[in-house]
Amino acid sequence: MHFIPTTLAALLLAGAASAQTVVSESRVIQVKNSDRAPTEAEELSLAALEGLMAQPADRALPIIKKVLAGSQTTLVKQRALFVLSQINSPEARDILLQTSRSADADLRSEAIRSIGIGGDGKALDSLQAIYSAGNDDVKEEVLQAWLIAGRKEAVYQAALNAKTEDEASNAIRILGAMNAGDELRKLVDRPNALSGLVDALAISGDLASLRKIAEGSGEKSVRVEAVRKIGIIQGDAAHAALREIYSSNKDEEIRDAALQGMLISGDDKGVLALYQAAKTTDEKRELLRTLTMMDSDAALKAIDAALEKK
Amino acid sequence: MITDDELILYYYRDGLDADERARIGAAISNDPQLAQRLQSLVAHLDAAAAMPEVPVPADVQQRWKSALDRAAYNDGVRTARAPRTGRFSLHWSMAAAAAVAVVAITLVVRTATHPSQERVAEVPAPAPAAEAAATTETPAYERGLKFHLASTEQRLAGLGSAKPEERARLVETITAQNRMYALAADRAGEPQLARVLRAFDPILESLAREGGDNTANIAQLSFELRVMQGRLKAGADTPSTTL
Repeated sequence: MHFIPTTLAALLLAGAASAQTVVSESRVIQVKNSDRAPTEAEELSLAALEGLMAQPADRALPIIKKVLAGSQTTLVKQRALFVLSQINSPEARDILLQTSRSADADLRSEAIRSIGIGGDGKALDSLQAIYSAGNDDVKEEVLQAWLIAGRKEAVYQAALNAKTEDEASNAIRILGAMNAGDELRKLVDRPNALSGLVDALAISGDLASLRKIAEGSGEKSVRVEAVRKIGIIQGDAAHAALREIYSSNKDEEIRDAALQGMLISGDDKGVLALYQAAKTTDEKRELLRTLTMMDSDAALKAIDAALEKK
Repeated sequence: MITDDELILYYYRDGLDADERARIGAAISNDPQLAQRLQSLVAHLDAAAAMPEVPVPADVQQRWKSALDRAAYNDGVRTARAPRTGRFSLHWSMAAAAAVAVVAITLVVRTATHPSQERVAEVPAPAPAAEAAATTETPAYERGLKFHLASTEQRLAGLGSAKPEERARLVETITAQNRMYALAADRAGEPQLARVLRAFDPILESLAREGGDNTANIAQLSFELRVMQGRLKAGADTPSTTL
């Protein structure tokens, strides 16, 4: 697609004229621009925006600025912001930064995402202030931008300085998605580790950190959750950890969690070994129930043995 | 008999003319075993792509790259294909295909955006002569990235006519491959490309949550894929000014 810039500008302006109706219609039916497919008029504007990629940046930039300042629909402006993210110039970055503080939530959201895509360090740093002052939606948008840009430290700081558990959990979830093992481990050392952290550690397969929480002195519900989530981590080391936690603990909740973890990880041999070593009938009954739920050869063997004794 | 090579080319929408594609497509529709073979090959390719990168000797890389370039050339001057006489065993065929796929992805990502600044529009454009000459491996890059972006765009376009379960599977495949390419771009030290591909991920996830049935998400992704393809094309045409 090789439009000349003037043709592109004309197409975009023509699109803006016909888009007026679209804007008023969308207000009536209260549909956000970003939640719908483009109209025919917008399709033309979008095709023109695509054509800008064939133009030198110094020619494309003024046209994008005109689109953003003009009367195009929010949807077209959002797409223009994505195109802007592909232009490496201070002016393009300034426009994105300015739009990231816009009162228009759709444009703000796309500008924040585009800053993430652009990857400019200064622009990404400036998102810190937007994160701190923003509501939950804005915080999530900024976290996503940092994820796109691979800014683990910024997300870690967000988790560390979170004012609510939800805020911390969201940042921790993003750290998990970023495979930020070091940052997650640093959070383990904080007193009162959060349940969101347990999930992220389980997903990233960090057995050592989960065990540290499980055997630490933090809130009991989180420790119980950490034991249970060890079951998500497959492998001999996780199986062995759960058996040890079960055997070495007297706390019923922790032992139950270890058993649930073994159920999750499908360690029927481990449960059978515990069953065979159990000293009380109550414990044997509980372990046999777990084995039965596991529907394995080991379970059949134990059931058979239990019945034979009778 | 349809070979594994042909199935892989069919899957990647590459190297087959319309008649061959139609023939293989019809065969897959009518033969569950063949469809299963295709799925198995794709699973092997995905698994191979997820393997940690290992250093490949320069001469081997060069040999693979030459093979890819030869294949690209042959596509252009394709004449009637002689029937295949020799066949690899399934194991070797899959291993070779997987190796070529992994190396191709690594090569194309590594060579395509190097150095990163070349792929980003500059104001004003400096256009140094040495950079204008571009890397000698541009064809391999264009081939690889076009393959991902164009095939993703094609698949998105086909979502509307797919059955719900097919749609969900297609979105899942697109998402997995996009992550693979983002990872490859990261490993190849190409952050600009990795960021764009990562930015597609939340949209794909949202699409997956809705079973592949969200026209707004599909339209946004299609637009962004076309913009990226436009960037590549512009880079090939006028590397000194736009990319």
